[in-house]
Amino acid sequence: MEWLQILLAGLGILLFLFVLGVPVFVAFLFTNLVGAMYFFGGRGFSIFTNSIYDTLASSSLATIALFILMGEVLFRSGATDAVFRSTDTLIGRVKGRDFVLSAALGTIFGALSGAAMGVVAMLGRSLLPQMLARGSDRRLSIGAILGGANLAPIIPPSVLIIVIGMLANISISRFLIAGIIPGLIIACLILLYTSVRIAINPGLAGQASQHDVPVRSFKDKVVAVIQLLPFSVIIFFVMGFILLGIATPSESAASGVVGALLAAAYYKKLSIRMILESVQSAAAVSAVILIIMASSKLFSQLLSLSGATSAIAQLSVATSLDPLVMLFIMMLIPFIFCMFMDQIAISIVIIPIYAPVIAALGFDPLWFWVLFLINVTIGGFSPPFGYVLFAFKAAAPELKVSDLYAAAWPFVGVFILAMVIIAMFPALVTWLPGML
Amino acid sequence: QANSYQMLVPFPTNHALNDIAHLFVEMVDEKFDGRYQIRLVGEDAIPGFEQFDPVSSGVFPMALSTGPYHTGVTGVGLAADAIDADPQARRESGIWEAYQDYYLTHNVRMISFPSANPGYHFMLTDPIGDDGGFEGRIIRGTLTYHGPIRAFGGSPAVMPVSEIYTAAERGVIEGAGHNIFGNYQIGLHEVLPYLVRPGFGVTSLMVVFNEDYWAEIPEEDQATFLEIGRELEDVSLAHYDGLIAEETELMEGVGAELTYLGEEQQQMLDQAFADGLWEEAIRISGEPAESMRELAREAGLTP
Amino acid sequence: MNKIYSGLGKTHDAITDIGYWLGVLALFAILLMFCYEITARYFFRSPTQWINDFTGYFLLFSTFLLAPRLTRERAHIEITFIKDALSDRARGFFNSLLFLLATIACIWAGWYAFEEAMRQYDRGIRTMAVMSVPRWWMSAVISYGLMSSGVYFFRASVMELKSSLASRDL
Ligand code: NA
Ligand code: NA
Repeated sequence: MEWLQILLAGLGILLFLFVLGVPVFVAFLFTNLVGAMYFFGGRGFSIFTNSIYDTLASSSLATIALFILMGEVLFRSGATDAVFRSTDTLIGRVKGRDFVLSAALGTIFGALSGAAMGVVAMLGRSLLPQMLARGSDRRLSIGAILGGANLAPIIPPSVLIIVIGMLANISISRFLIAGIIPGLIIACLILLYTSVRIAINPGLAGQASQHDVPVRSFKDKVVAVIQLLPFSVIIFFVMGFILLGIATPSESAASGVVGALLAAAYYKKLSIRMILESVQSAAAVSAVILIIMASSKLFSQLLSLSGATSAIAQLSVATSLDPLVMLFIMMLIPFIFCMFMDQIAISIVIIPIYAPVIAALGFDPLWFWVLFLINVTIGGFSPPFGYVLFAFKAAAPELKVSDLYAAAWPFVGVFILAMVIIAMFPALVTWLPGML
Repeated sequence: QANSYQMLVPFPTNHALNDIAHLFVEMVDEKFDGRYQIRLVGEDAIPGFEQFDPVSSGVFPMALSTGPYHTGVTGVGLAADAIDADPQARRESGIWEAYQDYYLTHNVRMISFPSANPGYHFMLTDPIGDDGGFEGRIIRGTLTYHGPIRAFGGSPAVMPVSEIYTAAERGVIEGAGHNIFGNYQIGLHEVLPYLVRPGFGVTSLMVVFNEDYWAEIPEEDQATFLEIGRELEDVSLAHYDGLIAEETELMEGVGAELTYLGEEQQQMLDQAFADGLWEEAIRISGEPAESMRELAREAGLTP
Repeated sequence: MNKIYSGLGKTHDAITDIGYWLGVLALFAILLMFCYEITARYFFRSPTQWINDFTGYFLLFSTFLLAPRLTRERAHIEITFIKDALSDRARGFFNSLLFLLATIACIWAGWYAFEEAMRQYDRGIRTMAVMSVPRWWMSAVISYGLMSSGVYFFRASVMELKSSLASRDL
């Protein structure tokens, strides 16, 4: 079982370095350097370097940077204020309306943005202070924002869908469409959870949150809807372009940026300075992610070379466990790893191992990868390690990490519940893409 | 005791071109009575495009390889796809030996030159029209296909393999050039249901050893390996003939249809394909590619 | 001696900033290229043959040209439980050690990339693409990004060590 020793040694070194607090990309570099030495001796430099080149020099990966850029433009465009005001107007005087607002904003921004980080930062800066000022429960507010923001990777457009779809080699347009219903289900579950909590303990909703709000006329609401229309441009420039065959899913990120720029122009926020700041910020954020992807690729290559990848695939088929048990195990592994590690790095390691297994088990690929997508999305905000948690903390530095962690868990539960529902009813995933 | 070798294979595990590697391993097993154990290492460990260098430098002892994946280093291999597939003709004309000699300059010894004939075809969203070709259509293809796409009035589009399916499904592209086999498994016919006939070109593969590893193999075993290589060349053509027929039937069974190039286009096809490859080969490698073309032409093995 | 070091540091920072702006421009160029490709293909039905390759090259350039500045700003993602649990002074020493390890990893990796760049240059290896360019360009940029990051990790390590030694309280 040489592969098992290699697997354990590789994961051991990697996790040890993570926990020490070495930057994630350096932990991968170091582990892979040791691995390259072990497998190739002094001649490993070539394979080591080319693994970085092969991973990064890819037009498909450029999509990640462009989706992040789209978010940056969107959040600097003044567009967010408009969405905020309109959504605020449209939601009537309901109990715990701030929580309804956070789920609604999460859904709308989810449809406009490709990643949760930007959304959580934006909501953390704008919605959270408002919720706290109105006396909403601190942890429930933080959690609702986390939950809402994490609709972004599931509702198209989505960086994660593109990454997973590419690695798993499935139709990305179908995968994007497949995320819509699960995203809406999760939004509903978030609403349901917060409502139940508030019903049990009305104090959580804060004192002022209901009667402070002026009554809005029908006309106000029509204006609010009209104010939201410019955003359909962004959705059209991404999903519309894909579905009409104007752009490939990768290219749609670029047209999405153009859509966001148009929205910014509509709100009179378009300027050279704004574009420059957006590009700078997007370049930095995406470089941080891409360098991790580039450094981590060799890890999965070495696992393949050691025979671990195929051995695991063969073992999991040979165990002849009940498919449901297999599904549970296959979801549990990335869930646990994602608590501690980078979700994209995990995807890079795990997807090539899983792809042959799900074929052998006869799972519907779209259904399986949507479950995987939700799972990995959870990884972005499951304590203790996750980009979305970090982005939230960065946007609202006064937040205590302990509050953030405690707030996250119930919503991790909400997302898991959604996974269970989707696992039981595959049609929720497969129906909409089947309409294409 | 058994000698064990890792053999690089540049195709995804479920790709039909892997069959050759499996056939080779079986034959080695049988002929050597298990004295040589060969373990296949796929593109998930070393990407297909990156496999030539590690064999040439001896990081890996051997590989199943294909010329289009060598274009970063040499274009001579690319042009092998424009050379007649008949194994006997390749050997008798001296082409086989010329290829072996050329690759030895890269410290790589070719012991088998198996192929599939035809190697390539186009798949389209709509049947061939009155123009008899691709007038105005956007067709995805690597360099290998650009010659015919242009000759038939189409525009070649370049995009990653992972995007072909979606792009075809949504109509971003109206066709794609692809190996003529191995389409069924990846489901390309679902979005590109018109299979263009005739196919064209030859998918030329090579079984190669790093020369230093080869030199350490006892002479009689070397002879056996060469014998296996020769057999593999014969087996390969028959294998892919069968596979193409089988796959075409499977795809037709689920709604795919054959569609035929116009007469004029059919006559141009081989020339356009060969010209494209040789020009590229000569651009990359210069003289060695030029003399290879001359040799192949003299033997009547390339247009 | 200190002057030389600070002069070297300033030069290093200046080069890093130039790389940073080139990297930012590269991302902007990717945006323009994709838009051009969509327009050329959909509206003029004449896709380019070069954009697919160049967006990839530019992405690699962008990432590794930006990397040193991100290292300088400590923007790379890391897990901080252990560090958070330590006292200031102990954290300084601990950080200094971790940064030293990061220095070794980055310089080692950067050296590998440099070796590969040299080999690719010697052998005239080009990218496998419709628009092929010399491969050593790529490896050289990777090497630059990693090496320069390594130097920043080293500078950070020295700084952390100095300030921990200077502080008295434990
Ligand atoms: Na989204
Ligand atoms: Na996590």
